[in-house]
Amino acid sequence: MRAKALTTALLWDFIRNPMILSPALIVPVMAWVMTAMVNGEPEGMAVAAPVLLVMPAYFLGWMTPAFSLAEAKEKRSLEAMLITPLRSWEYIGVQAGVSVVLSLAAGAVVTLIMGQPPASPVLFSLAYLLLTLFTVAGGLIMGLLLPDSRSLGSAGTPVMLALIFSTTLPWALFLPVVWEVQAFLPTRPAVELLMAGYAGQEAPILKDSLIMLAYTALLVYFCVRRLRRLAFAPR
Amino acid sequence: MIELNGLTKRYGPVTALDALTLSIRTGEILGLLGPNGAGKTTTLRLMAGLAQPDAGSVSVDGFNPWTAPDEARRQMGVLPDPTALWDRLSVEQNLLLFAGLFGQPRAAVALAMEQTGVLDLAGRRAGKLSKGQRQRVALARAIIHQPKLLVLDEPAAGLDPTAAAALHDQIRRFRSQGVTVVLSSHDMAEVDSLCDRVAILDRGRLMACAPPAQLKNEYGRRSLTATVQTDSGLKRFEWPLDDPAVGERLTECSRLGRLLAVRSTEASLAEVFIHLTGRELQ
Repeated sequence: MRAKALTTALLWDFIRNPMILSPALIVPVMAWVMTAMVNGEPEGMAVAAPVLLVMPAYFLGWMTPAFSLAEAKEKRSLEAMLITPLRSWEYIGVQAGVSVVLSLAAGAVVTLIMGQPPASPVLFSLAYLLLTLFTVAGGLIMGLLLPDSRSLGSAGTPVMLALIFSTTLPWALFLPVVWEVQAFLPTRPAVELLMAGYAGQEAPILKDSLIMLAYTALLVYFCVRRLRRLAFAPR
Repeated sequence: MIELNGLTKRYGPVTALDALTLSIRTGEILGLLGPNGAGKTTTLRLMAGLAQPDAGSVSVDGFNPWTAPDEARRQMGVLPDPTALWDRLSVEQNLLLFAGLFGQPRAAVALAMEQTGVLDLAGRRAGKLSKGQRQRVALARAIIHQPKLLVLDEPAAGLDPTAAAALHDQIRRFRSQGVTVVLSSHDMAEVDSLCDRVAILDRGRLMACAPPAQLKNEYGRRSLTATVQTDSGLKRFEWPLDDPAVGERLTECSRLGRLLAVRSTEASLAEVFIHLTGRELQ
């Protein structure tokens, strides 16, 4: 009952929140424009596909919980909820769940707009889910670390953009050293898995999946710890 | 209802609350009075289980809010300062959220809205409400699970006199229904008119706790005021009521002109505060 009440409230809040609604509308438009520009050429698609596929996961998976949590702290609505029987892990769980669903939905819309079905739908879905879990966990920790929603622009968004560029630029082509270094960061496994599922490229699927999961688990752990500290911080 | 025993809370080098011991009875309105930094909000946060005491204990109807938070929180409704409503949700959606968090049925929302007079605001977005309306909605949220205890942090802060009076009436109605109310305030008049007992806090320490009238009797001074119409206009004289020469002074006054009024004036809580702390309540 608690999870249902919070999920309903979050969905209504997101629908009316321009900071979340705008990316949800911009992402499909950008996907449509880029797809039209590439016009199905394989070389162009090889560069555009990672960008298009990663974008919804970051724009919605990262931004949604980051903004929502930072705002809840700023307006003290988080504290008001934590003096009910709601547990901090339940709050984090619902925030994460709603953000994951929004990100997956945006990813599905973008994939449809791209017009080419994934080479391996199961692997592609798994890859997108792993990326989404990572971005949502990153968004959650960002929302918990930042003092208010205004700080997202100066601190949260640059981190997100750095991660997007680290993930989507074709490092293997023009800076192989960076590509090698990224093997154990969450950025290269993300794009390797996505392109393995979408274009049938080869990738160390198990290793990449474990790396993505390990980073996600680490971020979730810090989220729960941070949430408890924040809820009981002095005024 | 609530037992605070030797409650101490430190934030770094600052002792926000210093060995506070206080017993709050069922069905009373207890006011925590003091300036900013006196320890009022810290006391409320410790009662709500939002902070862990460094020493001492809190018991809310037999439950420790830190070790048994669910049981303690089901007994209490909290009106925080600020109200912390979800601005993009309607009033009804705000209340439905909290009804769900407390496991209450939908009917609880209508009941809470009726009790606080916000039924007509049900469809309005919380972000569009006035300060007084927000305060009433936050109060409806605090009573959504019909708690036995209400914890109100500066409930009338920033309200206009009409809205504050309406809120005070509402709080009295809760008391008449057997609800215990603990509120913090730095408004002397509010505490004086509303509370059955007042706990005066200063720099984290409890200076006194008693009914307002008793505090004024013990620590304040009643005075006698005489208004005299003299040739040069109205003049007002004031003496302590316990002054043994007060009769003679009145006689002297009546020689100066026509004695228009003689009135005894009660001591104020402001005087009590000055007496106890040596400074004015800012």
